[in-house]
Amino acid sequence: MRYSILIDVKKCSGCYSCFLACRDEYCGNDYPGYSAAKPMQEQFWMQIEELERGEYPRPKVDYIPRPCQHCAEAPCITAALDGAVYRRDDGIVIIDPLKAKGQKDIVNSCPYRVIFWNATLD
Amino acid sequence: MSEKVFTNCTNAGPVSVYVKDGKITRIRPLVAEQGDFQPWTIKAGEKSYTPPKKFALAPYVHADRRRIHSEERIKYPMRRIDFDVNGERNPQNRGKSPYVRISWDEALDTVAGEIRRVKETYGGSAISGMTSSHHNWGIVGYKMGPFARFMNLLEFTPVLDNPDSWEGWHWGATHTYGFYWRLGMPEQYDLLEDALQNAEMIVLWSNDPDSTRGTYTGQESSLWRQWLKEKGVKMVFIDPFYNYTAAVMDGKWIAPRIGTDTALAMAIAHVWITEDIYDKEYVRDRTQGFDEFKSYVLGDKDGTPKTPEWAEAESGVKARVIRALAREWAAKRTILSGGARGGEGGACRQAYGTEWARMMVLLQGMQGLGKPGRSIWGTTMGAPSDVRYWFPAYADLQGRVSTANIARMVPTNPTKQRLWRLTLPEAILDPPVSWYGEGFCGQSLEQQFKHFTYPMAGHAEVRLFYRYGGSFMGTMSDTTKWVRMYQSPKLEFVVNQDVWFNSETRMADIILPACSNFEREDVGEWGACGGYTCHASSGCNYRIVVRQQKCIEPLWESKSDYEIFTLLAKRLGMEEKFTDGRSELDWVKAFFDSSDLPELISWEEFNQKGYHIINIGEEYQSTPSLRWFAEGRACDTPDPNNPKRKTEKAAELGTYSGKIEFVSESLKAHFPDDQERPVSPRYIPSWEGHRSEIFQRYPLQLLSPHPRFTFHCHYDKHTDWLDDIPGHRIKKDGYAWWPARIHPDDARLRGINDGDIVCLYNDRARVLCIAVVTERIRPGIIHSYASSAKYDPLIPGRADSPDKGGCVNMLTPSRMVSQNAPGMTPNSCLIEIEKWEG
Repeated sequence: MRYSILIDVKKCSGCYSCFLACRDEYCGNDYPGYSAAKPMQEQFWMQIEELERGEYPRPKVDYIPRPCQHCAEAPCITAALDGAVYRRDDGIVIIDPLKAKGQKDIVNSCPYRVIFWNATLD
Repeated sequence: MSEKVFTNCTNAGPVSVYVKDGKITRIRPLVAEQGDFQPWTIKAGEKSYTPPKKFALAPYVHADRRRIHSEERIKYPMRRIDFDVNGERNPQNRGKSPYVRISWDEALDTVAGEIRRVKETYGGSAISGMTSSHHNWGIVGYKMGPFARFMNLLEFTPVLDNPDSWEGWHWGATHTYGFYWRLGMPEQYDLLEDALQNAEMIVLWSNDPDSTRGTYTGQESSLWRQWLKEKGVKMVFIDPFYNYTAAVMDGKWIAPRIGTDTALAMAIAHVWITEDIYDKEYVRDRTQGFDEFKSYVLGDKDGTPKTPEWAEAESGVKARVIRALAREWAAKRTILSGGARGGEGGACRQAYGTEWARMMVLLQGMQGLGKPGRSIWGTTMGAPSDVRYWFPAYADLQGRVSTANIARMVPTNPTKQRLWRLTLPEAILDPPVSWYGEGFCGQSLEQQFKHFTYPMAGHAEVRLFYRYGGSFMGTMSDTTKWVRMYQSPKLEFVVNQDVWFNSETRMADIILPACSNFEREDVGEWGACGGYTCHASSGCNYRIVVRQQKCIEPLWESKSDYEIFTLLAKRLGMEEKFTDGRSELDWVKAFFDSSDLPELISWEEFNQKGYHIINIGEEYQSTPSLRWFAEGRACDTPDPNNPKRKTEKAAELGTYSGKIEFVSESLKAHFPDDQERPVSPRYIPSWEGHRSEIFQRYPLQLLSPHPRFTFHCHYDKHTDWLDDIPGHRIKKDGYAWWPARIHPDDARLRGINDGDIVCLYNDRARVLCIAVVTERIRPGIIHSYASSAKYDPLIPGRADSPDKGGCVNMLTPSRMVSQNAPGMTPNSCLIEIEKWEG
């Protein structure tokens, strides 16, 4: 089994509700075993890229929401020491906030740039 | 302390509020029991459409926690440092001088003392006050409740609101098809079903529903448009900006020059007339005055046939595009979507916006308005909705603590003097002022013809101004005049009562901190305006009434508005008169008891559970809007304020003739010689447009629509997370700038690059923004949303200072829609733009 969130980018209207709801869920809130509190500013675990192409009068606008991909072969798992990043049986990739302490390489390993370094908690 | 969960409601959806240690930790779309939802199903052809069991909030509500705990909150009562109530008042320093923290006692004593002094010296009419709309949600605490009740007790001079979002429909369309009881916007009952079953094309004319969201109903209708898109319904967008709905629907885009939409509409009528492709039977039976209109369109008198080629010269839209649109519109069952509520839209908020709104009605009248797939529908209301169960809404007289007859005593205000919001600064600075129209003219067409002059004989000029809940710097027109007004010594005393610091807060002498609706008791139905926008909750997939529970104690030293007015009333010896002997929770219970909700749920359960969903019953009967009119039947929609409904004239519209009027009988009766709002609509070039003299100096048109990521000025700067949404604000050098969108050709000509700080300017003001160079805007037009909450003048206290907060409304004109239609015209605005070098 492998859990995933499927996002139909054709339906995405760029409302940014996911972007804000993700911040509301995690900013300042600890979920022990899952995640340390996200800082109130400057961290975006759910990012949206707005792409504009084409020329007047026929422009096109697309959005690429970019959360953690829970990669099948996740580079962050390889980069982590002591099993600080692991895959659950259901496919979800978890970064253990305690074990990950001091391991900045985990951040740099992410090809999607969606892992953030919490400077306060190291 | 353990986590507690409360229910509450916002101006864009119901929420569950999670609280730990007196702080809100997160806010989610209201978590309702799945068994409480009984979703409706619309059958269309082979397919059935059913909404999911959830509530889709507007995006900014997801960040409400930041807004509630914001550093922009007014934390304590404050006094302007150089304001001495017994000595020098220094009104000239309003907007400039800093404030000192004072006690509640000092603040209340000062405000109550000034109220008493002004009232005794000049009379109640020397007191005026003004509110904004919907910084909070909930009927008990809403502005029309405690604020109005308190002010009525003072016998104040009310400020009449202009219908700011739908001017042309209010002052124009009402004279074409009635619906004055809806302020010019058409009924929307069951039009989602009609669209899914019948529509082949939708023309969204000056409408971006994905951004304006039916006003209060969040993202609920986004799904409906997805259904329509999947079904293959073609969507056409007429808008100088390739708006967000156009982007996600991937529709056909037609971008006219601002101010020429009426010309475009005339040309469409021209094609239909000359090619004989309109509903002649409908025009014969359901309309009047067509021949005179036809004669104008064909140019019989003025020698100018309103051909697509003629319209191309005006609008910049190719004649072949206009012709193709007209033919397709006639050939296909086409819905006209002239703004988020059917009516609205930037095209009606400009010079002669009445003419465009009237043309919207008339075009659809030529194609059988009300027939299947031939509605006027904003795409944001009209889901199946059981309206048999009444719950009071804020605009219902029975939904306000000021006017509801559940009160033992309803204070009436004997003062006849009125002010007009758009000319309030002129009224203070340079009286007299006069205008036609009694604000929201929802009682009769004749209200629009009522003439007012301020000051009114036997009344005093205003000396005390009580500002409450919001600011107009970023939402009204030519707004630097508000700064000049505040600095006038004629205003002897100014008090500002608000939850957050707004652009007018620091213009006051005394500032009073109110709390949000998360810090007090209230009740409210999602999306329900009531009154003139009755049954607006059909913009939601489910009707839900929320017991808005007090989630946390008022933050810092803030108090509920109700408590503040109670304390003031006590000092004025009228506490009992104000409260009617009730607490806020008593009012909540009294409104509940007065409603139909007790038939569905007990007070105890509602109060504890926090919400009730009103599902539609098995026996639900669809009554699509205006189908009755098209078919010549008595009105069968549940539109309670339609005065002809259930009378012998029930098959008629609300016009004098009861028909769609190509020649307006009401205008003919009252303003027969008005050349700016003639009895039959005409295209009149804008007084501030591409044919104006100042176009040479200011060759760019400013388009400032309602915003996508804030509600008026109520979220924006009070909600810091929004600063990270590039469509809302863009951070540069540590400052969150307001975007101004510019076409690459216009940018290149001026040496402007994407991300440059630019100055938008004309003779009225200078406003700094960040340039967004984009192919999504027609060349010659600058797009920058209205509603910046941040007025941030480089030189505080100077009305002529450039603003770096993005209040582009400072640039917009004071001039009204036309001589007898006193609406605002923000989209008739010429500017130039240059790179700002500081």
